Amino acid sequence: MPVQSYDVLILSDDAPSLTAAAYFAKAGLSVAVYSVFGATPAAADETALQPAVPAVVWRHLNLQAAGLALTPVDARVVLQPEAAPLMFFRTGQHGLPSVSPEDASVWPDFVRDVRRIGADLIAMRDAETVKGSGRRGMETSLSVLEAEAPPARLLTAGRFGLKSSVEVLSDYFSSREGRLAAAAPALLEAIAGPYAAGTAFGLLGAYGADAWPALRLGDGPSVREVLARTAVAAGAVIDPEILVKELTFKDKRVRGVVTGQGEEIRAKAVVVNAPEAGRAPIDMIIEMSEDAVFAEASPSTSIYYTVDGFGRAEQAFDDVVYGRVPKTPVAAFASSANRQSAGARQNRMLSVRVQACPLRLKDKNSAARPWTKEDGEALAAQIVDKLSSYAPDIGDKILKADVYPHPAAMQSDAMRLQAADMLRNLADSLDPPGERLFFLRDARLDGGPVGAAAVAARRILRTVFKKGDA
Amino acid sequence: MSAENEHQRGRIEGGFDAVIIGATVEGLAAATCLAKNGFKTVLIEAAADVGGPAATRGFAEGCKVSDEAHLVNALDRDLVREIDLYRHGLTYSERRIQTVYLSDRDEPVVLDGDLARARETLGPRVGDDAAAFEAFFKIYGDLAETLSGAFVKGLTAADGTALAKALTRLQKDVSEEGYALLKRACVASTRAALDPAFDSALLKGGLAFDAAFGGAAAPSAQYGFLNLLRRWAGESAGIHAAYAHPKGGMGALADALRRAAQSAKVDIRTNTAAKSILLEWDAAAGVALENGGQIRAETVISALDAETTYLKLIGPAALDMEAQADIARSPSNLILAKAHMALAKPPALPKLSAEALRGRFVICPSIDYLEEAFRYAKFGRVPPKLAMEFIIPTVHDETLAEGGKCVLSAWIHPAPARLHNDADTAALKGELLDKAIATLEAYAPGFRKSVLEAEIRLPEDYAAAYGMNASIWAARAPLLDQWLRTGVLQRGDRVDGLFFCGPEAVIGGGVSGGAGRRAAGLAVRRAKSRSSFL
Repeated sequence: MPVQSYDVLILSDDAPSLTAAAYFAKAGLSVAVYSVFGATPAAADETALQPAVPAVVWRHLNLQAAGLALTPVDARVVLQPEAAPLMFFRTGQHGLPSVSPEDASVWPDFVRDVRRIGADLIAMRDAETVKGSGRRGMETSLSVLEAEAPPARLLTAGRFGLKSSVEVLSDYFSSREGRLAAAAPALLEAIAGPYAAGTAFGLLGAYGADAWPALRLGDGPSVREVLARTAVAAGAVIDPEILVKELTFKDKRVRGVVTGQGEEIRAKAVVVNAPEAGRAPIDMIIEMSEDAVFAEASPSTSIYYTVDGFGRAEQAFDDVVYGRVPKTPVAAFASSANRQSAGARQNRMLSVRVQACPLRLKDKNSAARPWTKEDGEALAAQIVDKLSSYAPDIGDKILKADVYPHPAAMQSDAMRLQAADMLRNLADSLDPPGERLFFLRDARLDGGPVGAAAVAARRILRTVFKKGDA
Repeated sequence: MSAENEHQRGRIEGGFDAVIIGATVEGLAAATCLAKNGFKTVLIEAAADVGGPAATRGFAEGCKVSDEAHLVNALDRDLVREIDLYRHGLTYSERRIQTVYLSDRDEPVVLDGDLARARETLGPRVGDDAAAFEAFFKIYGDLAETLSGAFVKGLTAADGTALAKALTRLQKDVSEEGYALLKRACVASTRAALDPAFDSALLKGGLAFDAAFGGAAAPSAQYGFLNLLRRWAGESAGIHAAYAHPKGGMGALADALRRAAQSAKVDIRTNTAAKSILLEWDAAAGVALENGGQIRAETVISALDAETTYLKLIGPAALDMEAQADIARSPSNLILAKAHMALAKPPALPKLSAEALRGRFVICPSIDYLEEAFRYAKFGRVPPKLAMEFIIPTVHDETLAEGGKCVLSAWIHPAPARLHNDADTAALKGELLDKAIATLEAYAPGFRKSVLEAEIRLPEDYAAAYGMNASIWAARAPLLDQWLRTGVLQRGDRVDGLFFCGPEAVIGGGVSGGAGRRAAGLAVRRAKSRSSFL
C-alpha cells in the first residue's frame, strides 16, 4: 500500500493553524489538517470574541469574499471593583480613556511610542527571518536594517520587549487607573502576570495598528469557519477527527506522523499550534434572556475587561503555574445576538474569554489531571459571580452557560493525552527535536496569533518550499 | 595617607592621565590595567580601606566572614593573567568546590566542582539524569564558555550602538547552531529549559536556584534561563564554571588586587571622596573632591554605581531624559539577603561525610519550592521555607574563626525588599533570620542549638557600609537586559572620556574585575586613537 504523503501536515485546528493551512493551500501545496489535541467543538465558534484578523491576512486570503464580517466595537470598557468604569471610544483612534487629565494627555504619546517600537521590532524580525537564513544572510539583512532604522531606536525596541508591562506603564502614567486602563486590553493576550519581564510585548499587541477589537455580532460565520472554507476551496484536507499519535523523524528531520489507527503519513513539513507553558485561554458562552448593563452609558457594541488590580492579575497568572483555576480570573466579555435563535425569539449571548487557565489542574499532591465537566461548571459559576458584581441582576437573566476549554485540556483518552503532552513538551523544549517541525507561536507583534501564524506560514513557504508571496 | 590628604586640601593637581573613582574590585582592576598601559593613574576611595564590598569582616566574637560575595566563580581570567594576580598573593583555600543540592528526605545530589566530570559524582542516585546532565552541560556549558568574553563586554559593538551589529558580532563567536540555541536560551524560562531535560526534582530545583540566583525572574518567568549560562561562563583557577574560595575570605582577594595596583604604581588615595566629575566641552576633565581639591585628567573611570556616577557626580543636566529614566529605574521588590552565623560546631548534615562539608550547599529541593518562595517574596512576605545557598568557610580556612568556632555564610534568594505591612527593617531581619534557622534546622537537625551569634545583611547595610546605592543589591533585571544596558553604560559616549565599571556593568553580578579591565581597555583605545588623530 503506498504511503500517503502531503507537503504540509498541520496538527491543530484552531484559527492560527487554519490560517497557516489557507496560506499553504493557496500557494499550491498539498495540505492536511489533523489533530493531536482533539477537534475544537463547533459550538465554541459561536463566541462573539473572535481572534483578531490583521488587515494584511484579510487581504491575502480574500476573507471578505469568503463571507467574513466582523464589527469593530464602539468602546473598550475597563470595569473595576468599586470605581467608575474607564472607557475608550473608537472615534478618535484609541480615544482617551476617562482617567486623570494628566494621564489622558500622555495617552497619545504612549500609543505613538508603543506603535513605533512595535514597528521597529517587526522590522527587526522581518530583516532576520525574511531576508534569508544563514550567517551571510543575517549579516546582509542586518546592515540593510540598520540603514532603515536608527540604531539607538533598535536598542530601545530590543530592550522594551524585556520589560514588564507595569514597568513600562509606570514610565507613562502617574495614576493607578491610568496604568490599569492601559494594561487591561494587553492582559487579555498576556502569557504571564503584569510584573513579569517580557510582558511589555503584550502592550505592542494591544495597541498595534490592527489591534482595535472586532466582534462577530449576528449570523455571520466565525473566523475559523471562514478560514477552513478558504483552505478547503484551495484544496486542503481538513479532518481534525483524525488523531495523530506520534511524529516520525529521519536524520533529525521530521518525516511525518503516525495516526491513531497506526497509519503512517508523510509530510515535508509539520506545523502545530501548541499551547505554551501549560496554559491556554478558555471561552465561555452564556445565553441570556436580555442584555445585562455593566456600565451606564457604554455603547451596546462594547468589549468589557475586568481587572481587579495588578497584584490580583499577577496572582491569577501565578495560580495557573500551580495548576489552579485563578480565583480572580483576567477576563474580557462582550454581548451579541444568538445565531441559532435568530428569527425566533431573539436571545442574547454573552461571550466571555478567560485568559490563562491551566491545561492540567493539579490537586494538593501536585498530581495533574485533565479538566472535567465539574471544573468547567465551577469556573462558570465563578465567572457569573464576578459578572454579577458589575450587573447585580444578571443571575435572573441567565438561561445557560457553557464552558469551552482548549481541546487539550478536556482530553481524557490516554493515548490522546499522551500525544498532546508530548507535543506540548516539544513546544516548550529548548532543543528542536528535528528540522521542519514548526510551532506557531512567539512574536505576537502584529495582530495576535492569527497575524503571527500568517507570518510564520509565509516564512515556511519561503524557506522550505522556496515559494514567494501568495 | 591622611596627612597627605590634609596637605592636598583645596589643591588642583595635574599631571595625571586618569582618575579612577572607587577602589572596588572593578576600580582596582581598571586602575591597575591603565597603569600597566603607561597611564599615570590615581585611584580615589571614600572609605579607609580598598575593596568595597569585597571585604572580610568580623561579625561575631572571634569570627570573620566574607561580607558580601563568599565564592569566586566569575573572576575575569584575562585580568588575572594581565596583572598577574597570583604573584600578588591571590591563593585559594579550595579550588574545585563541589555543589551539593540538599534534600530534607533523600540523599543529596552532588555535582563535582568540575561540572564536566559531574557524571561520576551524580552517579546512580539520579539514574539517567547523570548522562543527561553531562549532555546538557556539554551543550550549554560550551555555549556559555564561548560567550564568556561577550558577557564581560556588554552586548554592543565598541564602535556603534546597534543591537543588530552586536548580534552579528556574537554570531561570529559561536557556531550557527550555537547561535540558534542562544536565541532560544535568551528568552526561555528556567522551567522550560530544565523540565524536559531531567527527571530528578532535586537536580532541577538546584539548577533552577542557580539560574534564578540574583535575578528577579521566578523559574517560570521568561528570560530567566540565560542567567545560568552566565554562571557557567566563568572559571576559577583554570576550571570552567567552578567555584573557589579565596584564602582569608574575599578581603584577601581585594588585598591581592591592591598589591597589584601598588606594584603598577597606581597612586591609591583612601579617605578621599569624589564630589563631582569635571566636564569641559562635554568631555571629562577630572574629578572634584569633597575636600575642595581637584584632580585633573583626561580619562575618568567610575566604579561607583550608575545612579551615583551619572546623576550625582555628573548631574542630570548632561543627560537626556531617556538615559536618566533608565538609570533611575525603580528596582525590583525582591532582594538578596545574606545571613552570617557563628556556630559552636559544624552543622550535622545527615547522609554526608565530614569531607562533604567543604561543598557549596543549595537548599531548593524542587522548582515548585523556588516558585513558592518567589511568590511569597513578591507579595512582601518572607517565605516560610527559604531558598538559599550556603558555605561553611571555616571548614577550609581555619583563619576565619578562633576557638574552634564554625562560620556559616548564606545567601538567601529571593527575599522581599519590604514587608507587606511596611514593618521596619529590624522586623524583616528578624523574620529572615528566624526562617533561615528554621530552614537549616530541617536539613541539619540540631542546627538551632549550635547557633551562637547571627546577623542578616540587607542592601541598606551594604549601601551604608560601602557608600553605594542600595538598589544594586536588589534582584536584577533579566540577564539579556543587563547585557544590553551594560553596553550602553560602559562606553564613554554619554560623556567623552568617562568610562563606567560600576556594579551595573558586571553582567550577572559577582566578583569579576572584567568590567574594570574592559573600561581600562576602552580608555586606552580612545587615547590611542586621539594621539594618532593629532
